[in-house]
Amino acid sequence: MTAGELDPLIHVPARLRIVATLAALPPGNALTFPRLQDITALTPGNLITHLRKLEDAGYISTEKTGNGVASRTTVELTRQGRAALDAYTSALRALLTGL
Amino acid sequence: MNGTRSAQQPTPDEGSEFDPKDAARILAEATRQARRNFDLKRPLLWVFAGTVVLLGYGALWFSVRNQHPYKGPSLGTIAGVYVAIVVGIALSTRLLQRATKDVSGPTQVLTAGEGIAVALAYITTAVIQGALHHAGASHAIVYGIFPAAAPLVIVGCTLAGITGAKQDWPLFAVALAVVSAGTAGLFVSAAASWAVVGIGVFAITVVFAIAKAWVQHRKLALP
Repeated sequence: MTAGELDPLIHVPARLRIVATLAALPPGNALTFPRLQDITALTPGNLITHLRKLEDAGYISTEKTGNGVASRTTVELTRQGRAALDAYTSALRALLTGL
Repeated sequence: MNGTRSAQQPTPDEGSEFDPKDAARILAEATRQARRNFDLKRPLLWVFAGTVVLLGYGALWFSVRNQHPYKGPSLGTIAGVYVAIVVGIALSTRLLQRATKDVSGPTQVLTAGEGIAVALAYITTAVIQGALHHAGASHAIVYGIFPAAAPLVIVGCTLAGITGAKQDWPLFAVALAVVSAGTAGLFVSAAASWAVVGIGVFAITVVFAIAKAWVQHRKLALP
């Protein structure tokens, strides 16, 4: 196995942090955008870009409620996202064992 | 989401060489940090809770160990234990609020429901204790064996039901162990009941904490 075989959607420092953070929540639970930003220490623009890529792949789902200043965006790791992280972790473990 | 960058465009850290060893380090760090933020069942918290129970029950045992006939723990000791319980509940509530801040989903609803179920189970033991006193049961039962052991059996069964329904088997095992410790406390003398339950709960929490820490380490242990 080579590093090129690791899921490219997760094998990016920022997205790895995002996915690992969301995976620590129980399945079905979502985290607000500001708290996710706080934990991952990413800028809002950077976080949005990475979230969009993960959402396009079906790894996360986002939900926006309310309008204006009262609006709130929550982010949740999907079942597919959890499976992808598990597969990534296994692949990473296999890769590092072979080094 | 209103982004500043298209999803098709590469992000700043994309395309660059990302060493798998660095990936393993980031994954472990991010997981640990997230657990610190959300996980209420951290191993050290379990050891802390077990130590509080051991000290509380130890103080109660200490105040009754030489009583012949058995009268029950002193008011000062009971007051001290209740203060510890109130502080423990306040601390748990604060940790729960911190862990669930900005988190939404089915767990929030379940946590509130579980809290109510456990509180009702605990209140039930106090009601039964009152009924035993009213029926003229001995001090050894009303102020010894029952308050020491029965809450563990009743609350433990409630927790077993909750955790079993959630298929949370490690916590289900803990709940059954708590019921077992309570059951053991029902079949010893009134004074010994406090000691048996205190040591039993402490041992359960320490064993669970070690097992949890080992499992967490194993999951994160990337070579």
